[in-house]
Amino acid sequence: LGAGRLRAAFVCSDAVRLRIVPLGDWTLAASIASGAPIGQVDSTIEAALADEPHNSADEGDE
Amino acid sequence: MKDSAQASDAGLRGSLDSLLAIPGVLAGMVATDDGLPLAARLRSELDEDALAAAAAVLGQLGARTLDGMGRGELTLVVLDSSRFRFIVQPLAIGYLMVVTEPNVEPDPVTAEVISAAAHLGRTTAELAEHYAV
Repeated sequence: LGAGRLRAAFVCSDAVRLRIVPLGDWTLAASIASGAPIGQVDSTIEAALADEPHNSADEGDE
Repeated sequence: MKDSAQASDAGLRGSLDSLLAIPGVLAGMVATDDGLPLAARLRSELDEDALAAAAAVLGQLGARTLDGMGRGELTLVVLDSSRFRFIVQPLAIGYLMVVTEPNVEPDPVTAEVISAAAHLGRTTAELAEHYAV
């Protein structure tokens, strides 16, 4: 598709929202209650990742 | 019977046209469960066949993930890439895939996609009934 680099994925059901974020060698999977706004979940997770020192550590492997 | 299939077809195209009227939406398509394009409106350089295959793969992967966790029926898959955002919604005979620019506010577009899918759900159910006969 020529879509570039994967940033994140959301899988939603009537019961849950799963946010999956690739972090170099790691993958973050967050389970969020159904109904939470996607934009708000996004910004909360991004803010949490920005505060996490391990996030920027091992990006040279890609 | 042919008339009802043509009406359903026109309904598919009308719903896709409405989605493309939303700012930031680049493409809308309905793909079968097998990943074949049923109807498409593309504004970008995206390949129709590749998009249909991706819609089916993303939909099936999302459904399998939720099934494995026992956490309900799939309602939506959103895939964010550096160039596009892909939104996939299951329908009666396949999937609705909408492609937007990457930085479009997700919730208003998603609400429109869910509303379009509800309409498309009825249309595709009619098509499924037609082709099952």
